[in-house]
Amino acid sequence: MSILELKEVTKTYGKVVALDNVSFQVEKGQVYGFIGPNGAGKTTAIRILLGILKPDSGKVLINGLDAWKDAVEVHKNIAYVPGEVNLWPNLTGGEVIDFFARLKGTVTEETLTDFYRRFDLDPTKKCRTYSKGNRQKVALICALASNAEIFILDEPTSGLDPLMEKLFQNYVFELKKQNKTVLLSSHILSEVEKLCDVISIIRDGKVIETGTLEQLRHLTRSQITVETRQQIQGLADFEGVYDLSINGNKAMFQLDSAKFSDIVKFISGFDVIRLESTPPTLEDLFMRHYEK
Amino acid sequence: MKKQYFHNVWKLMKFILKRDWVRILIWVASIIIIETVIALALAEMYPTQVDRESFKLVMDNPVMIAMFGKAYGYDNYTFGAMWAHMMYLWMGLIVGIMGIILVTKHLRNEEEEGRYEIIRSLPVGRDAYLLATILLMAVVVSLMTIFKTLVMTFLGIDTFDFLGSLNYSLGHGLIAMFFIALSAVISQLYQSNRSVMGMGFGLLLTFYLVFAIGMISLPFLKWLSPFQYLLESQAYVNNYYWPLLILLTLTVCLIILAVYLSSVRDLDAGLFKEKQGKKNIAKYVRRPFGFAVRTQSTMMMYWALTLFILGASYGSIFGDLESFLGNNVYLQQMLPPIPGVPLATQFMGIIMMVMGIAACIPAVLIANKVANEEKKNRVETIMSHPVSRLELMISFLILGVLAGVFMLLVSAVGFYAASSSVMENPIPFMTMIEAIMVYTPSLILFIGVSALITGFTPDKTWLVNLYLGLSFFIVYIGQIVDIGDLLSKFTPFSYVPRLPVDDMNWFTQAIIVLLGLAFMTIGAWRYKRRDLQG
Repeated sequence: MSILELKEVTKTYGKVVALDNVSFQVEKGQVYGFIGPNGAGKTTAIRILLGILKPDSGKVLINGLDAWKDAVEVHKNIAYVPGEVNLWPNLTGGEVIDFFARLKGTVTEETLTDFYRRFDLDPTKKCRTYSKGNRQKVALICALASNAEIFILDEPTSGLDPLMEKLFQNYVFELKKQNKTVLLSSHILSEVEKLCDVISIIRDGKVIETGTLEQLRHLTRSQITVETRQQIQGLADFEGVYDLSINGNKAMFQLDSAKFSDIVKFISGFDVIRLESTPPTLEDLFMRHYEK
Repeated sequence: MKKQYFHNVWKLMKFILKRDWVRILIWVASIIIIETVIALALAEMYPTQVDRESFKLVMDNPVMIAMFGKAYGYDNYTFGAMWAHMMYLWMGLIVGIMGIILVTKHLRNEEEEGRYEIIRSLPVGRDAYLLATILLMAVVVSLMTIFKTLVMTFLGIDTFDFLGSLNYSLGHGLIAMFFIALSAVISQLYQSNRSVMGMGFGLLLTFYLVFAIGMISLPFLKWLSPFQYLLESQAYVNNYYWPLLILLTLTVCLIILAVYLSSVRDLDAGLFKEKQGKKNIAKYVRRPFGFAVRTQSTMMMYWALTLFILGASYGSIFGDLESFLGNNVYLQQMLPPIPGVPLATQFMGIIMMVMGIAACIPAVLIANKVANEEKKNRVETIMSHPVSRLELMISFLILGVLAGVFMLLVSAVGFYAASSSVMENPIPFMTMIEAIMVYTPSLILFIGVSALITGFTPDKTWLVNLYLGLSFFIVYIGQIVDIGDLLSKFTPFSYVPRLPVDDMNWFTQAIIVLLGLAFMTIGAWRYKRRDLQG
């Protein structure tokens, strides 16, 4: 059984369709990346998972429980970092973290002190004086210090400096080792590439692609650079070759991943000096899917 | 003016006006309208010299002198003299508050919200925004002064002459400017808007208390308060201008100081650092109820203090009540004598109503917090924890009711403390408690209305405030003018018996409570089922 599961979930606001028949599942121990442009429906999906929004149709199950009806029970095992962290201006960061820790009921004082030190956060300052990065740290500490099984993180590193980003990533690796489940929504593709086992791309309320990074790469094209002693003939007519540019004995083009072995056979006849193949980055994937 | 410092002041003024003109207009218009209405009402209530003499008598005791200042023009207590005696200081306090509220929005607030940074990145002088804010305020205050002078002069009240009205309006204009300039200085010293506003109001209150103490025991003290210079202009009696000149000088000095401090400090910097807070939350905060108490505690404290003072100030006039009420034809109409019931007890009913409604304000504010938290996108963070929506909502509703009941109690205690010390035959404490506690059902109804609205949408809680405001208006004005039965049917306050004069109507009150609880239930039922905004 999947630990998180959306089955044919649709959510509309008046005439605007925020989620259109969305399905995906996250298995226990997975780090699941959730990417998509602004307004694609990521936050709506997350809020539905948290039982803050009610889906118009479809099923949302967390640990086999209904995310809406059994919200309180479900939340005992969930830690959440919102996309935009809003805190209580007249409480200190420490007070906020303390309160949430008590609601979860499993966090010790030592753990928190350790987190304050590592994230370099002064918990005695009022929330209204915190910068965006510091508010983000408060939310991260709330989540990471808890003993939850499932971590739902909505752009968790926005506003953090690279050092803190690295620290956060280490914590995610740590969670992975403990066989915890992470749903990571992010714009920082290098982060998703580094951390996630499975990635879903969402756009206009629909999940348009799901798979491991390897699988996703297979769906797209690689950048090939080849240098030969003899000038290559006939590449332009080759099926699966795009954006070809030939400069003397050097050719550069995009290639459908499925055609790889064909092209290698073909060009070997031209006395290859050098062959470079660059797999598509997540960014290429992202751009390909997003550009209309 | 040096370009480096004041470039583009004019454009910034227009920009501020564009953002703020509605707020400014509402403030200024309300002040002028309120004064006009009160002036006309008072002229009707105290038409003759005899009426005014009785009023003078009531005002002539230490408590009243501390509160309103000493009357001038005592020998010839014209309507103008009485008006200034009653209103000059208090409206001065109100325009002072207006000044602080209008100006602080553009001081630290802008800086704290990060908007000031954007303005500073534009081709504007370093102190241009501060100066533009102050100049705009000066324009607003000048216009208010001119309008008020004209309105007062042409009100048709015979002792409201042009020079008196000018002096009176100028005094208020200058006291507003004084607090605007003072806020500008404070905002250079503190880092957060909250501290600036807190310090601004704190100083206003301090100046008032210094003045009050100076009035009754240590005369030199009153000269340390700007309010003394205000009253010393003796509007409508002698119309002195030298005290106003002193106020003007002080204000100009403060403005220069503010601009100087602003030009030498860094963005976001302040002289005083933010106070360090606690690392851990208080022990009692375990569930949302404790959290509600913790986040609302400061607000509740201030309201309790306010209501205590309100109760005490009402209580303090009860000493000379009999002579005061006895001589005034108008008040006699309002409170026709009932055999066997002392006038004081009867008058207490009106006071209790005002305090009962006032106690509803913090209660409703707390109940509205459920919606407020949602609007500020903080509910999602709470809701991602094992907390049910019902628990969250009920926590705030219960706190609202408890706080409201507490506020009722505090105001009655304040009322008792003051009235028992000035009255020969004090009203018993328990009588007062009963008379105020009878407002609890109405309080519950208002919390119910708040819950009902929150259940459907978080965006419309202003409706509760409006309903409370209208209710006050209906029952308060209903005292003086007959506004018809239909209107008064819509507010629970119309059904509250004035104990001990009226009989307790248990049945009606039970219905009000049930209605309130029904609203809460429907509200909670909807709240559980709808989408949260964030």
